Amino acid sequence: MTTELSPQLRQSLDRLVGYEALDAQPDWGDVAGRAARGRRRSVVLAILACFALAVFVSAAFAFGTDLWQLVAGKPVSTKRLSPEEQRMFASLASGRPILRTQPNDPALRRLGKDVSVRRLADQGGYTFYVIEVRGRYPTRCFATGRAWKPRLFGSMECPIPGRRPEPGSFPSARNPVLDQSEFAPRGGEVSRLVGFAAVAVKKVGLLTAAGDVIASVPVVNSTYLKTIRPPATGVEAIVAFDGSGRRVYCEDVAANDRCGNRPAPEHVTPPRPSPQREPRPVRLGALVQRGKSQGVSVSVYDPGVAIFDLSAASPRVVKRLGAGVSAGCLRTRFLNGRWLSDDLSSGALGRGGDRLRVDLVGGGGFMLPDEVPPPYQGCEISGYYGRRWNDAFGTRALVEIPLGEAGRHFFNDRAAARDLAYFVRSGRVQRIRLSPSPRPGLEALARRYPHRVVELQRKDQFAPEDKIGFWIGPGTIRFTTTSSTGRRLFVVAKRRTLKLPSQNLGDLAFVF
Amino acid sequence: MRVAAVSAVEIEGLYRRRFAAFVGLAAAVTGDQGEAVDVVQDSFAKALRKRRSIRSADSLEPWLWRVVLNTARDRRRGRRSGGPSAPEPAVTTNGYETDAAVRALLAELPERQREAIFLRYYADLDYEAIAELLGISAGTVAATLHAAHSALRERLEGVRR
Repeated sequence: MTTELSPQLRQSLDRLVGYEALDAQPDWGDVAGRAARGRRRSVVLAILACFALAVFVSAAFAFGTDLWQLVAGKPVSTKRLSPEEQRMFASLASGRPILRTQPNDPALRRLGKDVSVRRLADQGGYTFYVIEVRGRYPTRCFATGRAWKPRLFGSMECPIPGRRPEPGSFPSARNPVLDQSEFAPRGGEVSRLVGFAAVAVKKVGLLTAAGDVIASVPVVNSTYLKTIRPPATGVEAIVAFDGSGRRVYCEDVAANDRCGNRPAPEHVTPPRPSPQREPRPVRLGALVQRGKSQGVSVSVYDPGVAIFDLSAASPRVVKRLGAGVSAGCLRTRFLNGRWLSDDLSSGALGRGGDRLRVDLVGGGGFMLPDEVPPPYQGCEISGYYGRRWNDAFGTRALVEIPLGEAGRHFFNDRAAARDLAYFVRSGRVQRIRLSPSPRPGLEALARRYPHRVVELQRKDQFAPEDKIGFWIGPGTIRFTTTSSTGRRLFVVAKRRTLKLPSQNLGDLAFVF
Repeated sequence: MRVAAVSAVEIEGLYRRRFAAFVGLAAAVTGDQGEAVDVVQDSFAKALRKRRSIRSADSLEPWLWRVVLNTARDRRRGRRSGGPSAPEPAVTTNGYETDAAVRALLAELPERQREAIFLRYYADLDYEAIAELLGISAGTVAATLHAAHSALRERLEGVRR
């Protein structure tokens, strides 16, 4: 690729290259001296840091100092959690059902005291967190999030709240790895190695049927991540090694028991829960709900299991299934003019060919003190693709299956709300919001997207369906749209800042 | 598998070979040549200390560009100044008038455009490498450079008139 550059300008830039550094001469001795000083300082700092870490970590997380623990990570304010996540953890800490947690609930106000979030690492677009929940139902959760997602946490794993960790639970010498690897929806092979590992673990990989270890990935800050192409020979197990190359962990992903973990019949003990691949089976009760969309049907059974049938999925859905998806169902309600929702999704899918089972209560997925049983308002399969305003993916999930009128309205309102949110939070509109005179920028957008962006003449006007309207006031800019259900949505932005004093998107979409 | 570390000799070689370019980039960000040299010295000292964690000689140079860029940005933020220093008076020697104007105009460019220009012409990095350093896509690098060139060309015409 070439760029336009006049010869004069190029000459000037070329001359500047030498010009800037004209007076300076390289001094390698100085560099070596600084490196040595830094090393000495590092040793002193390391000693102090170890001491501080031991005091702080033991107080905040009750982590020990041996090699079978995790790195401490960096604290993250609970204010960064999305409203849904705040309600979820408030519910966990207080032991009260999530839907009853109101915006002004005392449990929400206590969130900063009851919940500590620490970021262990950022790798390949994933962020790894440890969440310590104190309060009435203490537990420790491990979560991964995607950088571009409005919610901090994507997939999450928590022991049953309120119970003391069982001896040998992660992280420990017996269980030094908490694997959250993702599997290709079709074929069932590992498609991405993801997880947490104790400090002693240096490398994680896949054991093939031929006995080779492939796709090994180093552990960085107690986490590992590697996207892999499924090998021709089947994968038998996920294995981990310490610094000396000794295998310290082996977890079967096939039925051949290559790890030799399967106990003898006379010593059968309950398997370690691994929600994403081997959910503790929940006995199917009565069929409660059924729905179908885009060739995908879902059946919801008591006490809270959704089974998706993908055998007749449309080609568009099948094409995107390969890129990794999550599935789940929603409980929603409309309160004080806003939608509230609880996304009971499972995160990454396990294997299962054309049938996909998601346990929304019991063994698999995220455990709540008071789990939410059916009926649900809708179920959906979402893809891990980016969300930008006016992009080819649109504002709907890959498959949306409403299970009733409320769900249908919710999905329709959510699509419109996302359209508005993606527009308001896009980089270009954020720059316009910050600028002293937003009119030229917004008018340019309206000229470029005449069918999508319109200027409104009055403050109380709303843009029609499928359009984004803007009204520029003396101190604010009001962005609006209308859903196909007729619901009017708005976001008010304070000019020359990124503050949004009011909006009515609720849980439909995240706007900033 | 043990990861091969980068040797001190390789780091020193890169330092001697590309010293001027590194100082140029740091000066573009900090606006101060003295501070730029300090940034480069600190960055290479850091490379010496951390050479065992650098996977290969191929990744050394991109890593060092990132360190220099980030260190220079930190210094500038620490000083709370808005950008590079004010332009020097124009030198009357043939051609240098344009250089002084270019220098002044570069200082007025938005931060990302300025950094992209310097990474392209000082560091001689390709679009992919610049994209990785700035955390943007290669397409955005091309667009950023195009915008910077247009702005420079436009303003330079104004200066010459």
